[in-house]
Amino acid sequence: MARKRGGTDGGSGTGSTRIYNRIAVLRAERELSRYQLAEAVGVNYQTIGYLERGEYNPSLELALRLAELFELPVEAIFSRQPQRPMSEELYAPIANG
Amino acid sequence: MWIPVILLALIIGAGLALVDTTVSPFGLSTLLTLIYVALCAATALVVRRVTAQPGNWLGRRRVRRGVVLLAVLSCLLMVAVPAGGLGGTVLLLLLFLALCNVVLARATAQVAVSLPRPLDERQGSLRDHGYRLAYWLLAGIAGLLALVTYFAGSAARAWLGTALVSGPFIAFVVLAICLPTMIVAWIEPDRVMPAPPQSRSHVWAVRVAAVMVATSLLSPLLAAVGVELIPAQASQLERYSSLVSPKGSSCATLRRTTEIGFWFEARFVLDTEVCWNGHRARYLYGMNRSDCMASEWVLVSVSTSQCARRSKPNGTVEFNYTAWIHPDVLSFLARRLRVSVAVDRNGNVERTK
Repeated sequence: MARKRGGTDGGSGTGSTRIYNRIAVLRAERELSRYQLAEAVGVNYQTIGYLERGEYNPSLELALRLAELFELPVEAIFSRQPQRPMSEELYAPIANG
Repeated sequence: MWIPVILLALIIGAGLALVDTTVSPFGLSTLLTLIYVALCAATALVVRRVTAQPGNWLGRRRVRRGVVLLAVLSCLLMVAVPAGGLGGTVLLLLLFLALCNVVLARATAQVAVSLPRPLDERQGSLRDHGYRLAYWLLAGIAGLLALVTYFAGSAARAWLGTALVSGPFIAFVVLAICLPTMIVAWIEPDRVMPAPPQSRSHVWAVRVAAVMVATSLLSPLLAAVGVELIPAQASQLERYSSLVSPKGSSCATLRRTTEIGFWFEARFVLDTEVCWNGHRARYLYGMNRSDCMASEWVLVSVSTSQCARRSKPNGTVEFNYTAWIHPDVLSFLARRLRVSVAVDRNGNVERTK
């Protein structure tokens, strides 16, 4: 379910379109705290929280830094459409033959 | 860069105040006022440098918006204060606004004021958004005032003239300083909890900053309450021989000095000229304003309500000086002080307060 947008990106030039992401799942998989992830990509830990809650759209630079850290393409982390669970994306093609 | 300047100003100020202390006992109040100003400056510096993460309570947008509304209400009250002076109400509202601003700065992790600290891209955009909105709001207010001035009648222009030196002007200046923080506090969503653990030194720095803020805000309030509660300090009665003595009588000039309050204080002097002849005491001259006066007062206002003398049937004459003292902060507080000197028919001072 899409969460109501907050106001943190107001006027930031990131536009009004919501960008969906998998940061929370990827962070949990790697057993990183928000604070550790924030340190790794050089932002405030609150910013990671707002990203995970969909209340802030990252700049291209921050998106690329996150992609580098998770060693995934940007489109695997961010999407303009609501993302399906990763397990569904991974196993749906196998189940469908 | 600012610390040496502030220290130098503090040393010069303290030196001047100490010199003043040797001349006047109320130099202590001047010294305390200078120390208070230095404390406020030091507090502002410390608070600016220590970034405290808001707790669970202040992290909620609903709470932050409540504090913003309180600050706006204080500004509106300041505008409503009758023009023409910077009374105690304005000072009280200023203290409250300062407290609101400190709370909001903490609630937003000082995003709008922490220039030396690097901000990340979200914080930077949030700060810029706050300043942009604050600029347009202030420009709107200034434009509205210009329009009112242009089209206003003489009464409104007279109000604007006095408003420039009283509450409305201060409210505008306070808004100009605090508005970005207020806007950031208003628009930032609920913060992510819990906050990461802080180092021990950082925790201590936050505690020191909190104590300094509390001291800066509470000291004037305590001093104002002290005017109400601290017992009056009456000096020894000064007694001088009178130059004029009617035949068969002895005369003297009596002076009673009473001090009240600490830092916010006032000194009252009751002067009397009295003669006695063993049958009765009597006053030599009628009393006037120079006999009952507040010789000095600091951060309080004083009004005389009684300056009178009366002769009693037993031959005693009594002099009374009654005054009301209002501290400039919390000016709704009032203390009635009564200074009395009673001299019996043999020239003995019966009772003094």
